[in-house]
Amino acid sequence: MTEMSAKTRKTIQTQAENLSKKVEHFTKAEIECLIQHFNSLLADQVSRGKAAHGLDRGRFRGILQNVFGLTNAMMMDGVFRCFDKDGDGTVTVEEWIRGHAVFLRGTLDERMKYCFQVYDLNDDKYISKEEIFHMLKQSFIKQPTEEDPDEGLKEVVEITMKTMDHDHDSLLSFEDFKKSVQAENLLLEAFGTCLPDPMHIKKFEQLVFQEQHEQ
Amino acid sequence: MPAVGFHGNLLTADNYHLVKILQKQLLKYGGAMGLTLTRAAQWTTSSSGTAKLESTPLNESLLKEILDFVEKIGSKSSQEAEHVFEEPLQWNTTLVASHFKKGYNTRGSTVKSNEKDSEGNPLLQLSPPSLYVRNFSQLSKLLHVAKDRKLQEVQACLEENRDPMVNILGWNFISKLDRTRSPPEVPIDASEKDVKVKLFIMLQDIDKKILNKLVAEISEQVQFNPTVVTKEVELLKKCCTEGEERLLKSLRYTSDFEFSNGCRAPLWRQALGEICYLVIEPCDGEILNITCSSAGVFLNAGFQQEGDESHYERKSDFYEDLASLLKSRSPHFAESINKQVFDGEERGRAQKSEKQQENIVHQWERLQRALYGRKKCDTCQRWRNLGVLTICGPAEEEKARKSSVEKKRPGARSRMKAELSASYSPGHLSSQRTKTSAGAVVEEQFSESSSETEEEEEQPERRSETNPDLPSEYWQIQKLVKYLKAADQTVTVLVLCAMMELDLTKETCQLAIQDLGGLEVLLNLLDTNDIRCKIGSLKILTKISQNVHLRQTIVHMRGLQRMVNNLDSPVKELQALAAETIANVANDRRARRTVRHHGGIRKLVKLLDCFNDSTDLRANMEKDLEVARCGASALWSCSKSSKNKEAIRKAGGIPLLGRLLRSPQENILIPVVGTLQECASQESYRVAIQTEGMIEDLVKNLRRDNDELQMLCASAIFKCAEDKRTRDLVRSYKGLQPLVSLLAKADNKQLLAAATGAIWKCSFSMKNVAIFQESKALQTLIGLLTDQPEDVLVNVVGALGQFAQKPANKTAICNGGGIKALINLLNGTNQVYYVGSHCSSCLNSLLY
Repeated sequence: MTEMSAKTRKTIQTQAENLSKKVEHFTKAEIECLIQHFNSLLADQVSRGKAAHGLDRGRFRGILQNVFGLTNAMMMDGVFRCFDKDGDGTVTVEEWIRGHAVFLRGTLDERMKYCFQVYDLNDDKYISKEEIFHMLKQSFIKQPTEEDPDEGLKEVVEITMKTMDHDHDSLLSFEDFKKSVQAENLLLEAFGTCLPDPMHIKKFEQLVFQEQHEQ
Repeated sequence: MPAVGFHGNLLTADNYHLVKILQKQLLKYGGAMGLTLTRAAQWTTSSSGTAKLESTPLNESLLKEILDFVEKIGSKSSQEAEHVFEEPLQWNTTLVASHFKKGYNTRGSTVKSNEKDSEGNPLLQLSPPSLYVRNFSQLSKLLHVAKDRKLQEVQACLEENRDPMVNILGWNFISKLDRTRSPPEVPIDASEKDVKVKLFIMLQDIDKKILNKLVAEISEQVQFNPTVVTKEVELLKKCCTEGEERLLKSLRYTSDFEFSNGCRAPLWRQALGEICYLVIEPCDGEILNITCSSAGVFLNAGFQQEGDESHYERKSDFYEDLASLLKSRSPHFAESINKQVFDGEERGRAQKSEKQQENIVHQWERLQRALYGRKKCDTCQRWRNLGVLTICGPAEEEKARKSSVEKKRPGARSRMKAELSASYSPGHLSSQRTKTSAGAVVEEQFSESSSETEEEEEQPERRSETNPDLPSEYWQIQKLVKYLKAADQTVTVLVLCAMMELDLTKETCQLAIQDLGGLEVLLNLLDTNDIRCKIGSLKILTKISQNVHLRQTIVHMRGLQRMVNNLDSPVKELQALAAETIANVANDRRARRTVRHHGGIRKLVKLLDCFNDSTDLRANMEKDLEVARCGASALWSCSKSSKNKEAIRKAGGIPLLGRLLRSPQENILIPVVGTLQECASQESYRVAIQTEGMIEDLVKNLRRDNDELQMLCASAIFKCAEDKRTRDLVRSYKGLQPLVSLLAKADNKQLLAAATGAIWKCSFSMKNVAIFQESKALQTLIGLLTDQPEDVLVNVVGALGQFAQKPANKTAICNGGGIKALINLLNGTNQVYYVGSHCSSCLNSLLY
């Protein structure tokens, strides 16, 4: 990093200047660090032969897994969907930083919106029972002896729906979701882990923002 | 010694009454000294046919106690010590003539004591190897002579004189006491009998003392649950009625004697975990000899006579409870109990017995819960089946009554009936007569009761559809616990959230979570790495740990260790919840010790330190304060034991509590002041409270409008104001007036006790008394002399005693009706001595 040319540094500073006006929760200096970190990730990807302006899905998932400890494939796809605002299949530096604002420092409101978006698989603004069932499919150890191996899971989905569906339309709207999470914060990541836990956040921030202090 | 109390007119007047009492005691305890020997000592029969005391730790401590008693009796009560035994105690000694020196007359190998009885016979005589001793004084001297061999001498003496009471007091005397009805004739010389009675009482007293000590020792080593056994026996006894419905012919304990810990087995068997022995005669078989132990119930070889060890031998598998053992041994019992529980209604039972029946079923249910609580999880399934077995009864009857329910679900009912008749027909049962394990029988019945081949686990759930009687939460919890066991972290959190939706303050829910294995899963979650699972689990645990039974089970399942481990988690919410749960659980004494042993106190004190990061955002400050509040609550609970007070101090807790004392928030202040006033029983805390300037804050908080906080502050001042400087500080911070104004809240007795206590202690300074007078405290205090609980009265009387040191106040107290009230207190028969003694000193200062 120290060998970085003056020109590159200048570019980063301008970029950070711009982004700090658009994105909350980060200082300008922190945004610089994030840009540098993003660039190094991108360079890694480019050096492997794929020139691109952003991180592709595979690379992104790799980062989620290695850096943030997320494991569920369906959730990682959802996270990618949320980060990739324009839906072009790559996460650009701006998308990366906007995503991280929620990922690392989001308020409860922001995180609720984000999680809801991850869970709303078909993006119709509602989470249906089928979607929940789909997301939790891998979560239940099936009892081989049971007649209907999905019976337990179905029941859990039913119970959860009953507690979260405040307007009783068998669909979870964002309002339903918000109400439930506000009443019980544990329901924020109700249908799968899609946010890093505090330990991973701390580690990541140390890794990325430390570079700033070292310079 | 109670004997002292009887001294003098013991037998001169009417001894009938006393002898009656003694008779009763004899009946109850089976004879002094003999009791310890027969109930506690472990005897073996040697090849020569003489009984031997085995060398076990139990016997050893028993011998030591007896030795101690005999050695002391010589010095303590001379009259009893000099009393000549009816028959000498005689045994083979290892002592020889050369051992005996002063006070003895040695001729060759024989020795005679110089002391003689009224007829001129020596009180001690040795003609090797036999030794004769005729009173306690000689016995005590002999033991002195025997030096390091005295224990062996006592042992030999006891082994060869199996009924020392008879030797000492004479058969005549014992048998007279033993006679239950007729008043004793009084031909014996009155004064001699006087001594005998005293000696008897003394022996009996020491007997009881030794016994209780041994019981206490044993109980420390072995965990018993005799109440469960007792309850089940009581229940079964009710089933020993006459007629067709009876389940058993007879049932009795082998021993009527019950130790203070509730067990009936001899002490040396208690050391092996055995509780009691039963002889049960079933309606259809041989007499069963049963041992109930803390490990379970099993058949033994039968007790034809005492003292033979082989009778204790285990002859069968362990069973969970008596019922399961009986079910496996007596087909009649198994059949009848099921019939009574299941189809009582079909057998045309009278309405009146229905209630009784339900009652019995209910008791079984409770009993089994208690039993389950004692057992590990492997028995859980079996128990659950049993639980359903008994629970179904009232449900069936209920349905018969509410025919509307039946009409709604005819299918369910008929299906259940079919199952029942299939599994409980007599033929079916008799075919299982050969089964050895009750559990197997029960389980088989259940698996066959269903037409499909399903897991037994399914059974209770299936029944749930047809069981409107059990609280729906029970079945809900059963399902949730099952899902918890089979889910990853995401679904686990969902299930935990569903569990939180239930009313966890209801005892039925709390016990169901414990009984159905939920508690274990919740505690196991605390060992995982998943923060959300831990938080969810603790959110439930904080609620259910308000139940005393669950607290104990949590301690038992090593739950506290896991909570303590989470106290230094980086996640604040987790820290707070863990501390809050510890605050609940540590209301249990054993729990407080466990917290300390696992370094919990140090960690909890650390939670109080929320002043570190000044750069932190305000949101974080709130979280920190919440953590500190929970930490303080946990410390409050823990500080009830003095070792923990010490540990809190050593961990640097006092200055942190002092800082939190300046917090404006009442919910933080309450546990902080609570801890401080609890710890103020120790000198080091009182000094610290004074020197670290906490008196000012305590006084400040006296003025807050919060009864609990006021009470705790007043209580802290009460404990600290023994010190003069503290009293002066209370005055200089203007704390005296608020204390007086607290007296107006006379309905809150706890508050009143704390406030009057603080006033009492503060009034040791005359300057304070002057200020109290300005606030008209005197009149209010006189008014509090009537109709108050004891702890208030003590304080009020104490305070008045201080006030009365000023002459002007004496007249005020007299004129205000204080004297009359004080004298009334003295005369009051119900008043405790403590109040009385304060009263007299108060009156003293009034009068002189």
